[in-house]
Amino acid sequence: MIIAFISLLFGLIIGYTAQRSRMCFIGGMRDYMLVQDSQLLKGLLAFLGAATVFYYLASIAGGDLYGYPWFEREQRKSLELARDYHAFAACWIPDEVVIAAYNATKVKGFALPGGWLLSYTALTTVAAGLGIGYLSTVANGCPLRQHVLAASGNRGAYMYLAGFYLGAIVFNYLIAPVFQRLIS
Amino acid sequence: MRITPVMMGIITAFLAVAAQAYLFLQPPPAYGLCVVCHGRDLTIWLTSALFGLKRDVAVISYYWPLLTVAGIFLGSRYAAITSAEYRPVAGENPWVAFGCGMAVMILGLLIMGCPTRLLLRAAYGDILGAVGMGSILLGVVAATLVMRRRAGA
Repeated sequence: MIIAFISLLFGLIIGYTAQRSRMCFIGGMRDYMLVQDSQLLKGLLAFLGAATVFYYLASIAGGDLYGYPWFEREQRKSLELARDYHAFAACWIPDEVVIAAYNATKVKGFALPGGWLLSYTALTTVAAGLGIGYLSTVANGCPLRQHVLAASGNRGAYMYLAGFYLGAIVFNYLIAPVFQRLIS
Repeated sequence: MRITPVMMGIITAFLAVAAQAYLFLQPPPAYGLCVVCHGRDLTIWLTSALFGLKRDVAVISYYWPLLTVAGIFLGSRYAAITSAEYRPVAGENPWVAFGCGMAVMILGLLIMGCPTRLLLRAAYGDILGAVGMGSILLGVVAATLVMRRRAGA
């Protein structure tokens, strides 16, 4: 329950700063491509640079960054530690949830000559990235920016959010089971 | 005080990193801020709580949902009202926006993150995060080229 309040508080701060700065991660790249306006692109690069620096500082200063820097093997280790961890955070996670998340981190894909493995995750990352970039530009902003636009009274952005949350339900109950059957 | 995009980027990165490193917002790693994943967690948590369906969410939000997206909406609504920028406008074609929203959510769940979390993952040392961000950049370039051609024709 603590984590729900923390995420709400952090969301409030992030939403406030995002509205005041008109920040948009897709818009940064789009504005630079269209009109050579680097204002928002600087924000994107500042986010990436600051996150890199803060992650490094936190890893020195004793922050709980399991498996930093992130590779698949260490991510599985972090799941094994998850149960003790959430006992501390006053949340109890059932075993089967942790085991399902553990199984999801197994790498599957096509074998390539030379002992390489082209994972399904890499393929979907490239394909879905192209789609997200194209459609977010058409929709005039990244998901974060659409929340801010909707909060400032844009009715198109309300429709975007309606599709957004309906998409989560469609993916979770209709598309994800099909994908899991295809892969396994 | 005016908040520039650079300041917003640094504040947001600080909050996202602090949430994971010191405030238990994990696993999965690099989950401090993601509009797609946190929105999915909240939606699926609510539907599973209301209709008793399977709760397929990130491990962290199994017990209580993450309210980041609600916070972002309320925080920016507060900012818009206090700066007198709140005004109802029509915006773009609602059905195009609806389709784009649904497609971006589905593709975002396939890629495991919105642009924000891909940057966080890249900063965390995940190569696929950087690959996804490069792929998104290519998509944006393609869309701007199409927009330019339509404007020119």
